[in-house]
Amino acid sequence: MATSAPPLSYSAAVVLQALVQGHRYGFDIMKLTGLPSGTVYPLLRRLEKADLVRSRWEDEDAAHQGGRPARRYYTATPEGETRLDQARRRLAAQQAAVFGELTPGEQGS
Amino acid sequence: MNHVALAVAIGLVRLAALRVPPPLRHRFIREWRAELWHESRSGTSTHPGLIRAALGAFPAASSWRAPEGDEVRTGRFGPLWSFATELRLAARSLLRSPTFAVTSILTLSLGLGGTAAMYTLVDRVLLDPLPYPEAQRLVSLSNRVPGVGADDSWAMSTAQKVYYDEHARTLEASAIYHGTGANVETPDGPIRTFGWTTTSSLFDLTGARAGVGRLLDAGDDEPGTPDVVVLSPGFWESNFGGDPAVVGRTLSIHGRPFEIVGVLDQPITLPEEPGGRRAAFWTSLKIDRGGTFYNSHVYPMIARLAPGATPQQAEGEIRSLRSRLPERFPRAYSQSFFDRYGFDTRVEPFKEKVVGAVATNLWVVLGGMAVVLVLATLNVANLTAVRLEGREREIAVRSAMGAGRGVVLGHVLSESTVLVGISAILSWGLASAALSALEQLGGGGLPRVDELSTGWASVTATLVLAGCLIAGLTAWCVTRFPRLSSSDLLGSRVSVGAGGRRRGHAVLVVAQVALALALAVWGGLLARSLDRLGASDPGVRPGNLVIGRIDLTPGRYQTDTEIWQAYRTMLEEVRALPGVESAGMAQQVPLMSDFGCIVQGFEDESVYDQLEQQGRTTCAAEMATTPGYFTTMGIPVVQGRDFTELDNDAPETGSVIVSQAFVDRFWPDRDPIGQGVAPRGRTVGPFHHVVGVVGDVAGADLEAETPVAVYYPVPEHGLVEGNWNWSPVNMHLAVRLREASVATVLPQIRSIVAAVDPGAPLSNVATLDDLLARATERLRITTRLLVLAAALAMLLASVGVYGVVSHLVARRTREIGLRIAVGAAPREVQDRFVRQSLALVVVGLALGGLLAVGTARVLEGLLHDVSVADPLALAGATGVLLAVGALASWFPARRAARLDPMAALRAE
Repeated sequence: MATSAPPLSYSAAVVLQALVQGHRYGFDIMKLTGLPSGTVYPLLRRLEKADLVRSRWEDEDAAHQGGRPARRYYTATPEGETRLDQARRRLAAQQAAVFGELTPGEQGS
Repeated sequence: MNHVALAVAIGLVRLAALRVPPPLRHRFIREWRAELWHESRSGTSTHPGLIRAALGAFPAASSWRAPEGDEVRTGRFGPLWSFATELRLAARSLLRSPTFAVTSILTLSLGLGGTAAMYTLVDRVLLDPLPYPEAQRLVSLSNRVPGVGADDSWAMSTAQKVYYDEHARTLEASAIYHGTGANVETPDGPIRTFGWTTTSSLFDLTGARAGVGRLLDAGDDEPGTPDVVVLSPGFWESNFGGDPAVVGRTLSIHGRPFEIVGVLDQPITLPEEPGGRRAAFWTSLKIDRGGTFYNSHVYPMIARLAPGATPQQAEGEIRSLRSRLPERFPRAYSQSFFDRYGFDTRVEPFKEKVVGAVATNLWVVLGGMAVVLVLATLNVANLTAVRLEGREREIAVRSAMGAGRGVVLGHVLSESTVLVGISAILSWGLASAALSALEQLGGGGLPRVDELSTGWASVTATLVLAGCLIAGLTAWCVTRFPRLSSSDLLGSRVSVGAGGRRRGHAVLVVAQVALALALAVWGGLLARSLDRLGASDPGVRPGNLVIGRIDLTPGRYQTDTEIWQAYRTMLEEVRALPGVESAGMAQQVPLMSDFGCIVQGFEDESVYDQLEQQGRTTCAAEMATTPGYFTTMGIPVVQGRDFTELDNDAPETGSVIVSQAFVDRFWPDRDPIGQGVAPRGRTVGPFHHVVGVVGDVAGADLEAETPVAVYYPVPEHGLVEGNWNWSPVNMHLAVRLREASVATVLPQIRSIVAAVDPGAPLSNVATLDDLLARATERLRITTRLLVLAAALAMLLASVGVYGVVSHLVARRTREIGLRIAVGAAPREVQDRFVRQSLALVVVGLALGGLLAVGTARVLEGLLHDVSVADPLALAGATGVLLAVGALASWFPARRAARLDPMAALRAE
């Protein structure tokens, strides 16, 4: 299944990567990745539709006690992590091809 | 501030959420609101950053959109969203019928643009207040003298000014003024220009301010104070280079020194300004309150009403004060003078005086454009309705699936919005172009157009009109689907409710034809009037003729014989120029200026009795004339002889020439040759005896009454001792050229005049053709615009008739096919359709005829020698429209007759 799906785009991979690193909210992802909200949210929506990402709402009562609105948080599904792994390898290879001759030291990072 | 930014950001999200399917919308908003809330609390984000983040909700919302259109049509915000879709659909469907779209947009934008442009003009010229402080309280005063002439109007006298200032409580302040043409010495030599002599109160009434130095003040009005002058900014710029040091210098006006005390900040425009010339200078009018006052009504007067007073109250008060004038000014007024002439003072708003003459023209053209707009709208409404009928089945399907009347509404609303929107944009461009063209042309004779621009007035007018159009079009179309029952429409192959719809078409045709006819009659009346005016004989022979005004230097001549010598020298030298056929002079020439009216004396005293019975005065247009004038102008000598040099060289012979109108008025049943007449009402001898009668000429314009003219020789006119005003120091020189061009001869004429009198400029130079064209200019512009509107209206009406008949034919294809199949002759079918539509056209024409006759009274003031119920205009317009209507119904009817019955029956 996973292999037949189209490869992740660069920004989709970046968003997934941010989720794996533990950034759970849309705006946190924006800050980390520098991507605008108009890119991050459509991506999250698409990833969720493809079952690579799941979203949950924070506990309403807890939020209420904290005097703040409940936020929606996103986590990567196992399927999503697998796809991210594939993408990471592919992107690393591409990076090596593009940047390899200029800055060999960064290869594989 | 944080709250504000957050609120704005959340507002944006809510807006974006409209694109999210309603069931999911709440979650969408909740998530974004929470994120934005945290973001604003985190302190790491700036306000613009927050807004920018919120803008991302729009692409985010798009990603929520379900691919199926149905999902979004339901729910609370459905209609709004669906309208945006409808707009796109409408634009696409219009692109599929480009002929309909282009026709509709063109006609609508012409109607809208014309109306908006004319509205801007009306707003600027007629509705805008005058640029004076408390302009609504300014009034203009003048005197009615029905005993002299029904429409005659005299200006005011110094006596009236003095007395009303003292006694009229309804007038807070007043000013009188008087225009003077004058020879002014400038650093570049003498020029002929124009200025006002005025009481200083005029500056207060018009809110004028000094740009440099000071204005005239009450002290300058006192007799015996030094002569001072205020310059207009234009004159100051062009002759003194805008030098502020001009204050204190001396300006020679008519050979008299005036001290320059200041320069106006802004020019003041007064309605009496001759031919749009801007005044160059302002001198003070000094009234000696203790001196003698004469019956001389030459001063236009403006006044400011006391707070709360109306022009009617002021008029009433002045009428009651009138009876006391003879007591205070016995030399100027008497009760018998009032009785004889019906002398009475009129008080009218100053603005009416400024714009009065053109108000009718503007309203008429605005009305014409509005009719075109209404016709265009009716047409588009009709075409839209027809298109809608063509989609009946589709609409029926949609309503069967649950779409209500809103679908039809949404569809029509969107189509009319697209059509009217595009037309409005086009029309705004059209109106701007038309107005700037008008401004470039110098306003086409209209007052107050120099600051014209397509400002908010026209934008607002266009928007309001466009809004009304959208609403109207929609309402019209929707009401034509009175009972939209889906089962009916789906089930039957024949249209339902066709009767009601046909009535709708009938109403449209009748209305269009009626309006078009009314407009055509208006256009026809004006065109006829212009035709008459153009054909009315100015009494002179056109051709290569140039006219200019000469003003001699005052004080240079002691006697009238010396004045004659100067003119004779000029004439002799001008006649000797190569290419000049003839030359002559007279004080007034046709179409150049008002001939005025001066009382005459008669040797035969029975003339006075006869005039008394007729209720007329001895007033006539009196002027000094040189030999050669009648020949040069082409004015025929109908009896007796022309002037010769001897008439001037030997004044004691006492000759005079009169016009035919003069003979008709004063000696209707006597031989005019040898009759005695004396200038300026002198009733004792010596009299001048008539040696010839010449043809009549036009006065200041072609519409004015034919002047009753009497031509005296130059010296006989006499330099009345101490009264420079009566001597012929100003003349119009007329020169007929053989083959020479005006451009080559004019400098030569100028140098001849300058050689004889270095202080005398040649001014107001014009060719006779210029004067003739100018005389018909305003009516010509109005007529052209209205004829254009009428032509458009006819075109639109014919498109309307054509559209309706084609539609009827198309809808009844099966019926026609059946008729032809069972033996009806094609010819019969054709006639049937033509008859049906002509019946409608005739009803429209009948209504339109009534409308035209009923409304044509508005045009009365514009018509020259044409009655408002002119049968030719009415019959002509009716005939043309009937022909157009017949043609427009014949084409589709022929198509019906040529139907192949088999194809027709298979159709659908």
